[in-house]
Amino acid sequence: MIKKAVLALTLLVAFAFDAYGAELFVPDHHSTIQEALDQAAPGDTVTVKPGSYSENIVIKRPVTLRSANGPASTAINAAKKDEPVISINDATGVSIEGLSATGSEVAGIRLTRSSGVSLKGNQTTENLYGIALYDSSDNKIESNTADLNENYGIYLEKSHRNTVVKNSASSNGDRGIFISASDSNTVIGNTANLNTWNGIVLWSAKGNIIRGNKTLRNTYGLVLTESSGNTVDENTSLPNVFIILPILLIYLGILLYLVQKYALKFLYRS
Amino acid sequence: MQEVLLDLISIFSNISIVLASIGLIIATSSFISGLQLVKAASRIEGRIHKFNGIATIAIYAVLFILSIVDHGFRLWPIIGWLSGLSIVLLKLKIVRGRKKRARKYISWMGACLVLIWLYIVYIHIPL
Repeated sequence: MIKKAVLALTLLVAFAFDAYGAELFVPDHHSTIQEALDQAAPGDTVTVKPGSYSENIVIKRPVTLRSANGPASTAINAAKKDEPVISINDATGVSIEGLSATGSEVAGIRLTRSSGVSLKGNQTTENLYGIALYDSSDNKIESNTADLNENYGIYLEKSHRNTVVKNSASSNGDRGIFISASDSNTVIGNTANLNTWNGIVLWSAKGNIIRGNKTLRNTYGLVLTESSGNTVDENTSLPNVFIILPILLIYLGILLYLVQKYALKFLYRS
Repeated sequence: MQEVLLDLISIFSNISIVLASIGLIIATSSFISGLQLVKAASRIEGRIHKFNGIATIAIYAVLFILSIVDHGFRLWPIIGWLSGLSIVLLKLKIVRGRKKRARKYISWMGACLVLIWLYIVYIHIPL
């Protein structure tokens, strides 16, 4: 009886560990992130400790890659500039959290033919594209910072039903968020300010929801080209305060003039 | 209404927008006194215009320096700042010169300066 109970308990513990997956640490267990990812089984988590890593990472299995302390202290720089910093190819269920990916002449994070991927709280700056999706559907891109890239902050091409929420795609050399030939995506609560050309662009895109985004001080805030059936509402290109403040200041200017005039008149008279 | 007020208050957390706002207020006052001066010479209007003019140039110079400190030497912003400064200097030259034909453009140049201040306020509003 006791033997059976011990066996059942062992199986239960083994099952529980298997369900949650193992956690591999870089650089404690593995010297490089790619090495840890190659060793990881599906469902495992690779945790990257603070530091600067020079690599081009390729992920093909459903693993979680995350930083221990967030993107400010965990940076991955492109070892080969002509490849993305992080590539996710033909994969499902991959999760990347809190990493910084910089210095690629291709992209910070690139998804190709992947689905069910979650990108959360990453920082992809100073690449050609910040985050790029090609033929990738049903992914979630949330709370990432894709600023200061040479071309686009977030780029979707032939990628459908993705959720792009609360990201920052500002100060990019061309466009903030570019949705090209992609349908039924949800783009909510993003910030695409100060981009050289457009804030958010839909090109040949159908059935997307573009809601509650901020597109301030771009050449054009929100641009739809050859697109139809999209829901575009509650986006802001010029907040009320941008109009109210100058009017208020001009009123104050008129008031100042009157005060100065009557003050000087009073002084001269007395 | 409360949201707008909170937005307005939160904007003034930045020194550049505070200076730009003061600049626009003084520039507006300067513009009105300048228009009055064009109509008829007045000692009071002259004093207001001169004081406000010097104050706006000083604030403009501080904002120019702050821009270089914050963003470094970038070509287009520097060209923009210097263009604004050249309009100020041209206006001063016309005012102090004796060419009466040029004086009829002074009001337009004053309006230009107010527009420049509006743009300065616009670009300094924090996002």
